[in-house]
Amino acid sequence: MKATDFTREEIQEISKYILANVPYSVLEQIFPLTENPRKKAEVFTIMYRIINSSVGYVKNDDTKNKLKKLLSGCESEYKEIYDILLKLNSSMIFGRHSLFNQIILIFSDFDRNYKINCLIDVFLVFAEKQILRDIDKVIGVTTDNIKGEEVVKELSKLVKD
Amino acid sequence: MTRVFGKMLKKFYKKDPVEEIIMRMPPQLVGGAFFYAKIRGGKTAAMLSMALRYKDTYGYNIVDMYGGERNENMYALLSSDEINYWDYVKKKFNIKDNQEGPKQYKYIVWTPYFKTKIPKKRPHDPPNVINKLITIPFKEIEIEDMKSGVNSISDTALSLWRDCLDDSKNSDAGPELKETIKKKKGENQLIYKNLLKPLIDEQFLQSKTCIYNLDILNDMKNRDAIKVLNLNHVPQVYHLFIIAWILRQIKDLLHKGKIKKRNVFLFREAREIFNVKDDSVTDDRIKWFRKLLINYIRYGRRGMHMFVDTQSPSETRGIVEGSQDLTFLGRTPATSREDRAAIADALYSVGKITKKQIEMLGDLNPGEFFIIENNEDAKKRYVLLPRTLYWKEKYKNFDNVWAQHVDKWIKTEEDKKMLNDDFRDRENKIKEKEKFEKGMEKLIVVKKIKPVEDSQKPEDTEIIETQKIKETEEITANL
Repeated sequence: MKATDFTREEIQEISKYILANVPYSVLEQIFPLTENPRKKAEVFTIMYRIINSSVGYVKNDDTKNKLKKLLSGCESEYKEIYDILLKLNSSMIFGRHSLFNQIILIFSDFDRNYKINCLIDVFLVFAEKQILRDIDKVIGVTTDNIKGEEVVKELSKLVKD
Repeated sequence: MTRVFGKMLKKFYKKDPVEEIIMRMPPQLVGGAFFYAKIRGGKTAAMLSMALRYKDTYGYNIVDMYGGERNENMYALLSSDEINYWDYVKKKFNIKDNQEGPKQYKYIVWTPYFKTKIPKKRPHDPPNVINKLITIPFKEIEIEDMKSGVNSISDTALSLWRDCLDDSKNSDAGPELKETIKKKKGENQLIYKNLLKPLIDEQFLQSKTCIYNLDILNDMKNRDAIKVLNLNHVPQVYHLFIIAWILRQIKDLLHKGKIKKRNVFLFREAREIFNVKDDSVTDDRIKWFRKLLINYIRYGRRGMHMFVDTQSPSETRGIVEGSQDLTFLGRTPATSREDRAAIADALYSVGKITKKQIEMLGDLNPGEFFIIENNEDAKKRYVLLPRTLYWKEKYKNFDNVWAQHVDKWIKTEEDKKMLNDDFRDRENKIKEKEKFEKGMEKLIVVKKIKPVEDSQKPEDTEIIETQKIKETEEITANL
């Protein structure tokens, strides 16, 4: 599953949940696209968990199914990595090295790493900071700048005669 | 590396590209707003759009007073059909999902009742569009209102009207008023011939108790609904009179504190009223109405804000300066030297607009304006289309458009019958009364002439008298 499989409305709905429930400062902390195996594993589990909780929030069944499909793609990786991370956090200093190696093994498998990257990418789209506006507040376009002029050109084309 | 990337992300996410191109809502109104542009400059659409935004954002009460010759104010009864346009707007500006671009507002349409002109069916689609027939109680007409209806009012006419008002009861309607004027021998007065008589005959002037009288207080209290005055079928000569009467009523209610402030009144094609260039050929009633409107324009602080569209600032030169919160300058061709001189005179001289901006006026797209807010310099902005339908050249008649989109109507037949019956009853009563009075006069004459003969033929006189008394009793019973 890719982010493009979700419609704009679906992304907005999921985004609304993520932005409302996860403070922006936390989002920034988990955003770094690190390739450090331990950090990447942590980021992956957090993202998996947040997306999983958003399944219960979205109203549309289609969106729910899409999310479930997205999560099922890397469910086995999540289970494994989550288990390793738990052990890693609670084990003694001498057992850590083998656990760390297990994580590296997962990431070094191209297919598995690809699945994990996909989920992280989709999450980045979901967590995009979108300021949703009231239509009553948008009354016009500033045409002092080029961007505004482009918008007006597009709008003029769309006006019926 | 990670930190650098994180910082870049942070930087990127903090910027919102939409904010850079968005036009923010101007502050609440103190005065009015004026929209200037040549034909196809988008001034009327911009005026409607801005008024609706003031309603949506700050809760202003909108009264669409005048739609010009083409009755353009009626088109707003329907929501916009620019689906693609609004989809693009929603997408571009990240509009919340549950908010639609086109919007169906609630409307109260005031349709003045003119017996011979009123259409058989009127657009009516409750609860969104409620079409009300309106009449006005003649007892509430002031001489100031009449000055917008006739060109000259003499002192005799003035005193005649005062006498008529004093002598009329609240239950009196048009026919009784006609009778009172006849009694006072005011039939030759111009206000009677040109204004009162036609309005009485059209049954537009009614008693204070008439159920069709415009209930301005309640309608204005209903701030959710936009009020639209539909003058489509009303002869043009009475337009200003009706508008002036309604405006004065609202002004009085505002003075008494019975309705809230923040009321916006829309006037399209105000060039008909404001065009001061050739004042010598302007009717006196138009001059009077212009004077009234200028006064109302300065009534901003009291809660009346006028939104006026005209073609050129030269038309309003010297009239409205200082009373406007917002000035919208749309496309004005470079060839129009007089218009540009007026702009230069009003805005360039006080540093609100630059020479370059004046030069750019000819190249503006439809909907694009130089907007001058109260204390700020001119800024180039594009005003979005109204969320309702607005007049376009392809529309020939509003009724056709309504039939295509909604096709829900209310018939006028029953109301017409009711008003007609009442009018006829009143006329009959007056005739009966006249008859009775004539009968009484005859009786008095008979009594005066008969005394000499009475002594000679007492029996005959008694018969005549009893007959007369019977007749009068019958008439009074009928009355």
